[in-house]
This record gives sequence, structure tokens and C-alpha cells, in this order.
Amino acid sequence: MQAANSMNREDLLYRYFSHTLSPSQKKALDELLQSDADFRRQFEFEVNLKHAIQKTENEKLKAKLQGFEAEIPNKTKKPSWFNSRNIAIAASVVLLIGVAGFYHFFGLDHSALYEDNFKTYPNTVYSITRSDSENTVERQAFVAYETEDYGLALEKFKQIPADLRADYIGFYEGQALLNLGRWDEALQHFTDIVENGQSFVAESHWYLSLIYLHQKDKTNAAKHLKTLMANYTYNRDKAKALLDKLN
Amino acid sequence: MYRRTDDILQALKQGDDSAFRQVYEANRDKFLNFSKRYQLTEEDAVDIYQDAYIVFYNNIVEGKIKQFTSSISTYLFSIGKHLIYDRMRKNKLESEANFDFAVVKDEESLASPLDFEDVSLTEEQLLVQKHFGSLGKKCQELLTLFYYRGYTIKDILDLGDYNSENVVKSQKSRCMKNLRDRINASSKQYE
Repeated sequence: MQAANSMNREDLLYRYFSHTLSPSQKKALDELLQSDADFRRQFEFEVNLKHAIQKTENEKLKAKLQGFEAEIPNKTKKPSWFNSRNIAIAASVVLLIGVAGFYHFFGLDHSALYEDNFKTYPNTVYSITRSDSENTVERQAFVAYETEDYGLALEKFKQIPADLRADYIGFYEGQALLNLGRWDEALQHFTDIVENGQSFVAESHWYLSLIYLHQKDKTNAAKHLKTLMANYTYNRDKAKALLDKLN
Repeated sequence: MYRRTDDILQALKQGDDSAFRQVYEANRDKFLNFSKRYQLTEEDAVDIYQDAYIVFYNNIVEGKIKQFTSSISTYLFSIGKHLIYDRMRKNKLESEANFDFAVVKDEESLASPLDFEDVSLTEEQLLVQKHFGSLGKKCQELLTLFYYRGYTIKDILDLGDYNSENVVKSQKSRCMKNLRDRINASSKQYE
């Protein structure tokens, strides 16, 4: 009887969250919430979880939209250098050396391409403003990350105990390593993420392509850009533009 | 490309990334133009458009919009308008713009069933959020399908990552236990 009861309760909660309660089940749920404190606590815990997940999703959505926005300038917004004087200068330069001669003249400048495309990935996973009273290692790591103290951030990321280590930490360690110019270690981090299917796989392909670009390894840079474009929407336009330049 | 609004609705509901981007981009410039009358900076206008878009999207995910009785931009604008007012109140701006209520009035009725709530979490919820973020990817995904997308076990089964209803149920129980254990362990740490 006890087991049947608890099944029933689980089922009521499950139906509540999947919006599939019948009117009589809704009534049963309301009654239990009134009469059974344990049940109410469980219900409240799951409601809290729903809100927490909602917030997490909202943060991810916001980051995604900011990503879209970062790619829009080419289409509608005019970058600040895009004024008539600069266009005139650029046009004169093009006229002087000829369009075809442009790339030949300057060659493919890997470092410049890297600098143009590299932007540290923002912290989209850990809200610093929350739990100010709580000074965990992870919080310290992200505070350092946001203040661009990547050496300290890396040190703190590594101190996070294994059981509390979220699967996005590897990605942010990779970001810190990139900023510290530790290319090989960063490369290893992002490769691991791609191979293990952890959080930020698409983003890792992008950063892998940039690392290879920095190492003047066009083949591997192009490989990651193609994988990114074929499977993900993250930075697709940028990836295409970069690939065009590599070819 | 999605042509019919119902197809777009379905695609958004199922979490289709390209539909998510397409609808965002399709309405962006129109919204930014619309927001000019409220004397917002472009940065603020973009920020509000993004928030409005997230509210719009969540309403679809939660099934509050089951079909479009009007154009997508009408929904988006009616949400955006509320958020613009909120922002202006916060900025304590006494805008001298003449609000064109005639334009937005018809949309007001659409707005009523929608949820504008800006989710700010309680202490307890923040703790849950923190530990949720530390769960493995599989648990996060499964719980997100349950609690955010409101998927039934059958819906989850249809995604093809699990073999049977029982596997889904027991995986969910394990994830919930894991989450509770982490929360309990951390609260003990602070006692």
C-alpha cells in the first residue's frame, strides 16, 4: 500500500511538471499539498529546480543571442572605421596595388587573422552576482576570469574539487590558457572537450581552428571550421568568412 | 527556411537552433526601428529585444502560445513594449516621446496570457541552480527536458537517447538524488 502510494505521488508530480494532470489528479495533488508536509517539501524542491533550470536556460539563451548580435555588424551595423574617409583611403590603396595583388602583396597573415577573430569567451555559466556571501573556489575562479586575471583563474579552476567540478570548467581553463599564450595545453583542453562531448563542443571547434591558425596549420584550422559549419550554428558566418580567407 | 508560422512554432518548441536564429534576425531591425520612438540607446534597445525574444520563446516552450493568432512580430512587440516601459521606469526616464498607444493597443489583449515575469531566484533556488550546474551533462539535459521543456517520458523516449521508459525514470531518479546529495553536502559544509 505504501509503495503504491508513493508511486502515485511521484506520478502526480511527474504529471504536474509535464502539464498532463487530469482534473481529478489536480484535485488529488492539491489535497496532498495541504495534508502532507513531506509531499509539499518535495513539490517545492521540484518547483525550485524548475525555476533554477529556467534561469539557467535564460542565461544560455541570452548568451546565444549576444553571439548572434556579435555576428550582425557585417550585415546591418556599420563599424566605426566604416566612414567615407577610410573608405576613400582603402579605395586608393586597392587602386594602387590592384585587387588581385592585395593578398599577394600582404600574404596570409596568420597572426592578424587570429587577432581579428579571437575573442575570449564570456562567462555565461556562473553568475558572480549571485551568492555574494558564498566564497567558493569556483566563484573565486570566475571573479578572476571576469577581471581578466587568467593566471589566477586557471589556478582556481584547477583547485575545484573533482566532485564539484562542472563539465564546463575544462572549457574555461582552455580560455585562460589561450589568454596566457599556452597554446599546446589549450589545444589539449579543447580536443578533450570535443572528444568527450562535454559542454561547449561547437565553441571548442572554433577555438581549435584559431589555435591551428595561430600555429600556421591551415589544414587543421580549416578542418575544424568545416566541422563547425556542418554541425552547429555557433559562429557560422565568422567560420565561413575565415575559411574563405584560408582558401 | 520555414515559411508557415505554425511550422516555425513547432520548430521553436522543439528547440531548433536555426529557427531560433531565423526568427530573431527576421524581427530585429523592425523592433529596433519601433523602439526608436522611446528614446532608447541602440544598446538598450537590442538588450530589450533579446529579453523580449527570450520571454516569447519561453512562452512557446511552456505551451502558453499554442498557435499564432497574429503575426510573430505582433507577439514580440507586445512583450517588448512591456519591457521597454519597465526599463524606462528603471532608468527613471521621463520620456517625452509620444507613445503611440494606437499602434500597440490591439496587441495588449494578446499580451495578457503571456508571462513577463523576470525570474529572479530566491536564495534556495540559487543554491539549486549552482548545484544543478555542477551535475554531469546528461543529467542537466534530462532534467532540462523534464522541467523546462515539460517533456513527458514518452517525448524523451522519442528523442532516441534512451531505450525504455524505465531507463528514463531511473536515470531521472539518479540525477535527482545526485542533486539532493550535492545540495545537502554543501549545506552541511556551511553549518
